[in-house]
Amino acid sequence: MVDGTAPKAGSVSGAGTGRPGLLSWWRQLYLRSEGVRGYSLLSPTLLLMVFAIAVPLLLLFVASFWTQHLLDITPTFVFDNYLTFAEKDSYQKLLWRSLKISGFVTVLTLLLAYPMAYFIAFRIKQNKLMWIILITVPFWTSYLLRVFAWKIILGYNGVINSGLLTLGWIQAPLEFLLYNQFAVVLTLAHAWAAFAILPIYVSLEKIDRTLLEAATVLGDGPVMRFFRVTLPLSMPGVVAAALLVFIPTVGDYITPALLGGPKGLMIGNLIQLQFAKANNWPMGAALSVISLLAITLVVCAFLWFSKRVRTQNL
Amino acid sequence: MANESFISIQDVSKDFGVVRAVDRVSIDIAQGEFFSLLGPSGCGKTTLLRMLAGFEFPTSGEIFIDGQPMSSVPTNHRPVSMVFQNYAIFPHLNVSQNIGYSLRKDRLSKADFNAKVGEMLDLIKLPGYEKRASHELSGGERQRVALARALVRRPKVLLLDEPLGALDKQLREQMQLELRALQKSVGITFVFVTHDQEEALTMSDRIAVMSKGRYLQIDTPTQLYESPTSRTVADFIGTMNFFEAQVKDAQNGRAHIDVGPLGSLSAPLRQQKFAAGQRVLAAIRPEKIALLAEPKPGANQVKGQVDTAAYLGDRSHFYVRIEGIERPVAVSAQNMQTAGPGVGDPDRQVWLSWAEDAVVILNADD
Ligand SMILES: Nc1ncnc2c1ncn2[C@@H]1O[C@H](COP(=O)(O)OP(=O)(O)O)[C@@H](O)[C@H]1O
Ligand SMILES: [Mg+2]
Repeated sequence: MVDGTAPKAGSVSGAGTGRPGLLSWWRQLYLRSEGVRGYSLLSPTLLLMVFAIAVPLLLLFVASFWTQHLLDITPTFVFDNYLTFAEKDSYQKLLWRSLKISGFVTVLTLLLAYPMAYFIAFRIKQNKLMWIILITVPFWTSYLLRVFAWKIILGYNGVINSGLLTLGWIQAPLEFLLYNQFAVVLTLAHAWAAFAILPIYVSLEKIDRTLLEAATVLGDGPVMRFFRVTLPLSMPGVVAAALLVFIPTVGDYITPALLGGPKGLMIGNLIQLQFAKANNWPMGAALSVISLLAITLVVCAFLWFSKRVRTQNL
Repeated sequence: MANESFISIQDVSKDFGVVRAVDRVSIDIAQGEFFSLLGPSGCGKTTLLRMLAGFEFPTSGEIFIDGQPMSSVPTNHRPVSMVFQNYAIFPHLNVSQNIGYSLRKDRLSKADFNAKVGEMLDLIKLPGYEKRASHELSGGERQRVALARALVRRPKVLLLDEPLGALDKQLREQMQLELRALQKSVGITFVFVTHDQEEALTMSDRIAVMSKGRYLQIDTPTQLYESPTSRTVADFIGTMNFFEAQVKDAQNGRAHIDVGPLGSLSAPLRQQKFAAGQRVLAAIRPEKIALLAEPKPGANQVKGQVDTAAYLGDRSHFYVRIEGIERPVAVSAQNMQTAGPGVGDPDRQVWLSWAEDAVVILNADD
């Protein structure tokens, strides 16, 4: 710089602080506002969410009002697909069945996961981490493999049937094990167990043990104490677990496709059909939006209910 | 009092692995008594209290409450209640639900339930707090709610594990008085654990001083302070000056001892037996020593020189050097006159004087 010879008064300020304009304005904003700081931290995730979730969802929503005939998509705004859903009993039944199966899966998973989480939180004194790692071990293999494993266990010539035949306890293989809703519920519950155990474990672990002693000294036996203190205080974990299991299983299509048989199909299979063989993307989009809304409704009802349970004194 | 051994702890020990937390303790606590367990941290107070509650069971020995052996009675069937150090207020319940927690089995009507809870809230001076959430309570309020919750079903015994430890000094002193008044009004036997000697002295009918799983002395606050039976107790409760001494003779309730530089002293015996020639400790409280500018006629005095002086407002603490005695002697004096230069100035020559009965004789070895 040629004109840099002129000494400026007070130019000792550190790098950046003397620079006027956008940067210092941003800096000021950043330092002053907690909200701005928070969103800046979130920004990479936020960007990804916007482009990988919000935008596709919006597209899905828009597309659900289009129509398709063979390969021609007509981008006009009509309610045809939703009317189709309203007319077709089989579609509604499938959605209803999906919610029902996921509901069963959620309940079964919670019933299996709660004792496990309770055991680790209250009975294990050392090596808790090892137990938690052991719980995640099934996740080290692929989901598809685990589904196939259940097929092998439950199948016509599967582990259970051949075992029972060898023992002579049955004459012919049991057929009710596979290709029905029972098989789907069982497999999904097993697949999602760890997702339920971990949040329940965390909320149980956080419970102050003197609260349990207080309940005891105030006259509660172990059962009463569980229902009046332990369970209500672990409700956040139970709610998280329920949502973590219920929401993704409603849309599952691999397990019903492989183990459900015709009676065990779910809404996910129908949606997949629309995008693939049936080649009706707008219908698929509409079904997706409908199941999204259904899940939202169920979840809201559930949250409202669990809040009531939590604040209720038995 | 109605029943002198309402709670009877008989030769109770508790081992945790190799650690002996409570070591052959036998204590009888009377009905309606305010009984304190006092001792430094880790001496087994909590463990003893938890055995009374039934959270722990003795390794050996037996506990009786109201004549019943407790060895096979679980916590929820014992006639006791407890206030925990962290109060253990149920976070998911409001104040009224917390206080009424133990009333569930009484199957009260809503009106009766509310009446009982309201009565307790009046007792702890928090009327109108029924619907408060637990996180809306201050430390002192939590403490009161915990107390009300423990008392609502009128237990025969209330156990308190350092319930005032988390409060600030002013609130703690106020709660000490309130708790004491409350105990007298409800007439329930209190077993109170603390490591704060002042707290124990203020509140208790009797105190058991504990150390390393054993108790050293069980007595009234006055007796503990005025007539400690061992150096540990004397040291733990208040400040004490100790002088090495030798018994010349001990009979008819008085002992004559030779205290080296302090000369020959006479002191009362407190159911103690000493042989002539035995080495003992002579102990005197700092406030029982007078600081004089001039010698006065008579015995029980010694010349010294003021080492340090600390002015504490209401009183002053002095340390006085005496020839032939290693540690300076602590003297505490009420500041009855307005302070100014005087007897207690550093390096002044002074005379220390005490009454004969102020001297306590202790065994040298414990
Ligand atoms: N559950 C336990 N397991 C092992 N050691 C314990 C347990 N509880 C207490 N102790 C030991 O017993 C001793 C007495 O403890 P405690 O009764 O809590 O003392 P205090 O209440 O007087 O501070 C301590 O040395 C402590 O480490
Ligand atoms: Mg303790």
